[in-house]
Amino acid sequence: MSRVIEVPSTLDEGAFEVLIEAAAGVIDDPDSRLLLDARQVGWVSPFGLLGLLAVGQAARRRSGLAPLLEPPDDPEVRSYIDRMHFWPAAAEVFEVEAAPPKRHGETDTLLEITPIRSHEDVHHVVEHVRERAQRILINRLHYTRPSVIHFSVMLSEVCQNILEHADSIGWVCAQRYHWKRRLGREVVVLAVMDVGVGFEGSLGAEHARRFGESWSAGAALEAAFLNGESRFRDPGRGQGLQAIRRQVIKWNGAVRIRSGDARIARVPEWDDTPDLQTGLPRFPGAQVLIVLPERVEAGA
Amino acid sequence: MTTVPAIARTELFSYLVTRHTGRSVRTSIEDQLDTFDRAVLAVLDLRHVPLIDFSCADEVVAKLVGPASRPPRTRRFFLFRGIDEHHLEPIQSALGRQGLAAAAETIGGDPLLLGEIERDLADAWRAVWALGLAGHAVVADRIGVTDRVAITLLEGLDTRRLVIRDGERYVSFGRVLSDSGASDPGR
Repeated sequence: MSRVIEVPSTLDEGAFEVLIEAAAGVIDDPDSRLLLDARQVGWVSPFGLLGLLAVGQAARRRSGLAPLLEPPDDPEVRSYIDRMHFWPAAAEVFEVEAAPPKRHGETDTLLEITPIRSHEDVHHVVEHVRERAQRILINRLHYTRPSVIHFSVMLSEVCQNILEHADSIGWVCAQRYHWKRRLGREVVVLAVMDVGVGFEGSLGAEHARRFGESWSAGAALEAAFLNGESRFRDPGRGQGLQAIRRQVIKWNGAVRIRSGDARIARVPEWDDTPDLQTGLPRFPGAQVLIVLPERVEAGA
Repeated sequence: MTTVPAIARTELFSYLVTRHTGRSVRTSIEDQLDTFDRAVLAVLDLRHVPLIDFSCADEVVAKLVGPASRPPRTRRFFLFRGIDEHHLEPIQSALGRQGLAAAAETIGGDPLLLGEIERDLADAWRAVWALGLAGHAVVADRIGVTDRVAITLLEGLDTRRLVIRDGERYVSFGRVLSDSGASDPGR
């Protein structure tokens, strides 16, 4: 039996919450086949696009049936998701035609949707993003030249999080925007998602006993994000997220990691997201959003 | 020098990203070092590495240096050369997290201690590097400490495999390389 979930018209981080809450009953029902109706979608963010894949993948893993997806009607949205190479990734999750990605000229896309399954995929992403990262980070965000390397390192670590902790396929993509209303500046938005074991499951074997009954997705996120703890006893592990956090702070950016029923954030002064949210609709894996704002000179 | 270590040179190329890649690189270096039946100075050149991430730095630098500084392994010494500005943070972080230190040279050839090390040990290390080969009295004089303190510091550097002890004298890695005629083909 197909169960239809209407995708919110503005498909961003907030809409992802709405979507997973609406899809929860379907994902938990192994006899239902999910149909995501995205025809009304009029705007979509990188996080929203990966969110569609994540919700579809979670349903597919539960039921074993490829979910269905009604694509957006809006031609601009269709063009955008085409430019982001959504359909090749979607064809591995949904029962849709795998339209080959089209070549586009210079765009604001920093990184099209790229599946991460192996360390080779991480190498591919890091080695191919450099030219565009240089163009966007230096010319548009006015970051320094070394920031291209710092961004690549951050990208590598955040993608490896999928390989090291998710035990599952994941996706990454990045886009430049002008956040006129929210910030009045240009930003780069980087989204990374998987539907694997999540932080609570990944760190549980090593840390849950110490926390006792207070062990939760929120506790796991705090342990990893704030204290650099990992599921391994190896003291060399757990550096990646710490490094990402430090780098994002240097750029006065935001990072939010959602896992299980919690979300932890590094909140800059221009944002009002809570540091830690718990009791969210439970969803597998980890969903990461990084926002890097344009650099402004002090006093400007 | 009475005890001349063997020298094993490795030039690293390309992007050092992902733990998997780092593990492969480290394993191949360890395999190479296992072929030596005496003390060996491993020289790893990173001048052609455009990018190293934190996971790879842990595998290629911290995990190599870590076991080497603990007995009873065959004496292995490491020198990381061609260190550029962008290599610093991942390597410093990987070493510092485990309280390790490593001898290095910048891409311009300047000596550099990476990781976590006490200031007086670092002073003694720089003195040995500048002198090339020295006993404790010369080092004590150079850094302004007593002979006794200098002996403690030099033994500390020897324990951490940051200098090579040759009887009563301590030898810098730079001196070992210049004596071998293999100082730096890249410069």
